[in-house]
Amino acid sequence: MARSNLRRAKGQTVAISALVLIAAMMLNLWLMLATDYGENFVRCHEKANAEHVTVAVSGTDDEIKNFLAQTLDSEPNVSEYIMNDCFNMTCTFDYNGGETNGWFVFMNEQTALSRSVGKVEITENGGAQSGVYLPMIYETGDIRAGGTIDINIGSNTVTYNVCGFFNSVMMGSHNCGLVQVILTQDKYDELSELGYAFGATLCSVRLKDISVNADYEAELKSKISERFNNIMINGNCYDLVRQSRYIAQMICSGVISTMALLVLMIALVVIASNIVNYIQVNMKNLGALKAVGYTSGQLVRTLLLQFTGLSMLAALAGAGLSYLLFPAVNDMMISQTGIPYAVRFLPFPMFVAVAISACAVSLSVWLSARKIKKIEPITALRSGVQAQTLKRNHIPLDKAKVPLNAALALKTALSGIKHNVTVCVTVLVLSLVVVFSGLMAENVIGDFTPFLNLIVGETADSCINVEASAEQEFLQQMRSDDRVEKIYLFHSLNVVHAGGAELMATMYDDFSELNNKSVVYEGRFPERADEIAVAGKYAGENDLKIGDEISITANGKTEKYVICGYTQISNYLGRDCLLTRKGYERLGSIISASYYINLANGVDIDEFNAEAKEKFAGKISTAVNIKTVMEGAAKVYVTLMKIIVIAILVLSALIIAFVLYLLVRTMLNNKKRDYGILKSLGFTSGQLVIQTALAFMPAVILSTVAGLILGSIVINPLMSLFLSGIGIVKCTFTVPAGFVTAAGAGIIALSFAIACLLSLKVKKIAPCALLRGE
Amino acid sequence: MKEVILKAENLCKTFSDGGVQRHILKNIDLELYRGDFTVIMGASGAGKSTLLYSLSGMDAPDEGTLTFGDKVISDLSQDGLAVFRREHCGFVFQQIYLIDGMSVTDNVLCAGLLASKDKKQIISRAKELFASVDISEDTQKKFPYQLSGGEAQRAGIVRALINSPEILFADEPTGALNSKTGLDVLDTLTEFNERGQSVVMVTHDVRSARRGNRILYLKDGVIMGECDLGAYEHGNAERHEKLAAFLKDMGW
Repeated sequence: MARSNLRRAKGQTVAISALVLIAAMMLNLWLMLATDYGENFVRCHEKANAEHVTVAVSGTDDEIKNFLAQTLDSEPNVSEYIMNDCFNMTCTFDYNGGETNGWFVFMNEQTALSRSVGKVEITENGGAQSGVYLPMIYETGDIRAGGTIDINIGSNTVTYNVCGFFNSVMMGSHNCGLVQVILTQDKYDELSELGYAFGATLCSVRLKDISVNADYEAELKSKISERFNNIMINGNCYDLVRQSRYIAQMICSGVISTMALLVLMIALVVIASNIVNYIQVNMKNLGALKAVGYTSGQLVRTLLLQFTGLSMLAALAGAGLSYLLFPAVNDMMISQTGIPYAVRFLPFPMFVAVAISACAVSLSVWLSARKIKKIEPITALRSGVQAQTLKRNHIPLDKAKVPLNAALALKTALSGIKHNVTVCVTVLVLSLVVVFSGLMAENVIGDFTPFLNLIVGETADSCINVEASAEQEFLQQMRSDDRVEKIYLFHSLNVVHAGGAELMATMYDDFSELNNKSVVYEGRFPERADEIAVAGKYAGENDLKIGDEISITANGKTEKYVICGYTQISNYLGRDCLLTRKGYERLGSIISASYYINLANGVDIDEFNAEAKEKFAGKISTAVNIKTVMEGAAKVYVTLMKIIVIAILVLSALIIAFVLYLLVRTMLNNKKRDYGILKSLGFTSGQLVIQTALAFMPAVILSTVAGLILGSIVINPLMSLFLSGIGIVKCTFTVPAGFVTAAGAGIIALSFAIACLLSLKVKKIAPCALLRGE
Repeated sequence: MKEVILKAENLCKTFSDGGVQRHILKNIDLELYRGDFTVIMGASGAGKSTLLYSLSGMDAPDEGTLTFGDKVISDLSQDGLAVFRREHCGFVFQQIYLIDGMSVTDNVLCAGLLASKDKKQIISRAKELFASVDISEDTQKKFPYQLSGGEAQRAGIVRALINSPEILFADEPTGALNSKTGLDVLDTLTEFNERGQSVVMVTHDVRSARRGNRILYLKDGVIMGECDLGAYEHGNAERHEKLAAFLKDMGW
């Protein structure tokens, strides 16, 4: 019986299979990304015997090394550590159409390749004998083995041959806090002679209990700064690196999982609708089967067998298909994670994806097929479908205020509750997804600034770090420069929340000068020296309320501050705080200060920075073109979002087409007799096509409007939930009214066009065939 | 001299049955006259219904010409034929074919409003027709499955006549009805014919055939003979005998 049902409804079988296939494909992709792909970091970390805490401390003398050794030896949680000499400096170079910057750790080749902790793996070797090896994430069209690269080390530029690329788990990306760069011995010696970077001790520590890695990093830094005043310490820890290197994986897996569940939900609604329709159309047959002795259970099991078997096959095919897609997703991910991943067969995610699909379909079938139990053989045989369904004559034609075709379409629409529910669920869900696409198109792809403001907090044109001794002269010069629209202090340093974690503290003179005032999403910016605004995520985790007093430690000194607001900057994964300069200076003075500068339109930022460096030679350590740095970092996310948005829109169109195909086909089958009669009365095929398509429009229009309105309301809270893992608590993205309206019109027009196209089958219905009883 | 409203010349229709070509209509030449009650008779499989559908534009003939007034309709597209049916024809079917999801009134107005934009006039004509076939207002609000066979067929006749068609085509209109109900339906058709409505009816029932003034006998796709019975008169034995003799001649 199940086979016979499948044979009779080939088109529906194919469309339902396609929906389950897409859902299973995305489920498997999501499960692979969320499980094995995520675990790839742990595998790579173990393979490289990588550190859990890294600190680069300025200075290479024995005093520092001895202190570090004593401190680490006395810590029972330290299992292994290694110390190496290196050079440390803020650097930039052109990357991905923009610029990358960060604290670079220059190591010589021999040292880097012989480290027992934090081993590096050369992934590509171009064969050059002299030059630089870079982390593999930087291998782009512009930077390739055999080529050259200009690295701006502080305020100096050095050109290197690119010898090759390597994988460094803890220092292999601009979002790790530290970027490892390997120099051949001659270039390492050359850098030493040039003196562009300061000598440093790189200390890589493996812990027994990994869970305390962030705390231990803070503790170690605190101990070092207590012992050595005004020492420069940069570092990172396992949690920070793991999370920041997998942001793209998290975004992608979040989007894919949401889409997978939505597609599965649509597939379930379509299957349920199909079964309810099957029962209605086959009421007499089912009655007859009951009359000859079939039990309701047997009939329900037939449908279960039919749909579950079908969905299992489709899910297996979908899970299999995901392996064709995974290499492309992997390539996309690697451009953000910078960690190699070998695609391999994973039985567990596949099993789970197939099991979820099959179980969900079974549940849907069982719930919708229960109606069979209520069929009484005699009633079904006598009345068939009509007595069960027709209760009200919707839109009486003598009273209808609309044209005949529209009235007939409305009649069909109002009498087809199943169809309406299916259309409503599908379009409602897809409208929500389209709002998300619109949000991304507006706030990431079109103009990256809103996303940037959320991720990094504050942006300007240029950032110049100037020594404290030259600060006043520098400010005087800048303020008298016509090209400078605004210059304000925006300097970040590590502090420690006493009894808590290390926080990135950013200080300013006057918050009203900041470009992005939405960083503090609740409460207010600190105005007095005893006030602090802390990351909302951190505050939530540590039960810190506005008005609470907390102790902050830096430079071996601890002071109390009152929390006046919550911040959200994902750059530090929810571990940041804001202070006024006076507030920070209670803990110690600053050696150098970073100033953010807004320049007049048309001013060449690089030229401006170069000029400033020349004018304050030796006093400016770095001058960064923030715009190009942001462009470089943004490109990965913009590309990722473009792919996601396009995939979402294509998938949405496909799903609408599949669902409408099923519904139109079902309607044409169910109403074949009616169409034959209408044709015999003189209705043309064109009129019937329009009628059929129009019958779906009330549900499409209502659910599109409802979906878009609902989507516009809930999208920011949903995004906040989605991004809460990276420290975002309250999203305030602009919902693009134009895009949303156009998308709504697009959904309606697309649905109408698809429905018209699918209804063309009406042409094949010949009135004489009806009369001949065909 | 009677006015020809529909003329068929050399009409042919062939069906393929398991790869074998079956010639259902063979070079039929026929003229239908305004005001006539033409009955097409013949044994099962003779091609009666096929001829009716071909004449009414429901099915396009394979060969031959069909002319309605001055207009050749055999060359029309499917949509052109739909417009022709809508404007000039009415249909009464054996299986009635009311649309299940519509009330009786809507079944009628659906056809009426398709051809006319004057809604008031159509509603008024529907009321008039319902009254003439004795369908109450309550019945008009019912769905087809709630009607008796006779009520349903009378509603079907109202639908067929709502656009005042020039020809009413009826395919075995009493075939699915009991004898009392069938007689009522025939009385209705006769009554409309007496008011000037042209009717073409297919039947293999002699009682039904007596209602016609012109009888055509079809055998193996060919019109074998024709009999002019004159206007219908209830209980006219002479007409009955004439029809019986004609049918006997035709080998009935």
